[in-house]
Amino acid sequence: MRRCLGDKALVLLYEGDGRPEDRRHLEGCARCADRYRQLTDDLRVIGVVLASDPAPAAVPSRAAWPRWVAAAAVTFALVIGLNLLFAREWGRVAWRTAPEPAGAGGATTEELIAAVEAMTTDEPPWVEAAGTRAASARGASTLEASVAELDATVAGEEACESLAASLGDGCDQLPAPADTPGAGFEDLDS
Amino acid sequence: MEAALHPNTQYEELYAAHYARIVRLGRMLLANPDDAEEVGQEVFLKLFKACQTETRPMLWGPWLTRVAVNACRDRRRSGWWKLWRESSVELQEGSITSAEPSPEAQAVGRERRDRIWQSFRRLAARQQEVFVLRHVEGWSTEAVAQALGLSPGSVKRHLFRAIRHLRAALEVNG
Repeated sequence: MRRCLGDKALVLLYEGDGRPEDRRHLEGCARCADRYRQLTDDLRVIGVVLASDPAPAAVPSRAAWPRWVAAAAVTFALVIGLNLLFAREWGRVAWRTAPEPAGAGGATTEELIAAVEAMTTDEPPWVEAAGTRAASARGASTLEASVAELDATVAGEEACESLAASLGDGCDQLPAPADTPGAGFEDLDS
Repeated sequence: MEAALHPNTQYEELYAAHYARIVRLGRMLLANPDDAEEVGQEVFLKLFKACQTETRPMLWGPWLTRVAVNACRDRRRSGWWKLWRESSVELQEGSITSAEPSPEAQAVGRERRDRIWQSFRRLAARQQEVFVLRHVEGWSTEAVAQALGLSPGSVKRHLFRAIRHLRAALEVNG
């Protein structure tokens, strides 16, 4: 025997659609016929209620307030988040990275004002790194310093190599370092 | 002179025959009685203008229903904030207004009526429109599809979802 009809098939049959085999099943199945009658009754009741005057007026309930609270909380969090994001992006939170003014504990008002002005006029790093003449000069001097350091390292390595060549294989003739186990105990044996 | 009077006479007849139905439709779709009254006035203002200009024979009943449904939708769209606020209100016990429902509706029982209305209010706007046109106004699926600019298959899907939700409300505690 064919399986009973689903709700969708029953609704389709009620609407005048549905497959012929579903309709045949409906005519032969007492259980589906009962469900179909129930659907018909329900739709009639719903139609009567909705069509009858009056439609009930909506009454505000206390369940409404959490939506307002949720909306306010989300808006607040969004504003704070955006504020922090943009402040960080544009370097307006220089107080985080700026060095603490010397003697801040006992700083005078003028010193504090000067420190605040210095913080608020700090440029973001990418502005500082822009291709200005000063930045180029700084970059050139940094490069020179790196080359000099590299030369010094190479010269040091050459000196080490010449020292190793002069020692040859006589490394075992070298005096034992002070921390070699057994060293310094000869006097005790005698 | 008679030609000038004819549209007005037609308008008055249509007003007497359909005004209450259109306002009731508005109350079903908008929940707010004041909005429904405004929609009714807006629709009949359009009818008045149409009666002055339209010379072809028209089926004014379906025309009024279609204009009313569109006006309700426009109102919902324009007042999204207001709608959002209204969507957060709940029907409470004893919220049936002063006028008495029909004897058939009275036979259903007050608690059950409230459950049906609550469930109906929670339906999506499109599902409400489809259900009202099909099962309250008694339109065919094809007519509903044409009026709402949907395909018949889409109308059936909305209808099935609406019926499932509304029946679930009926099944709670019998």
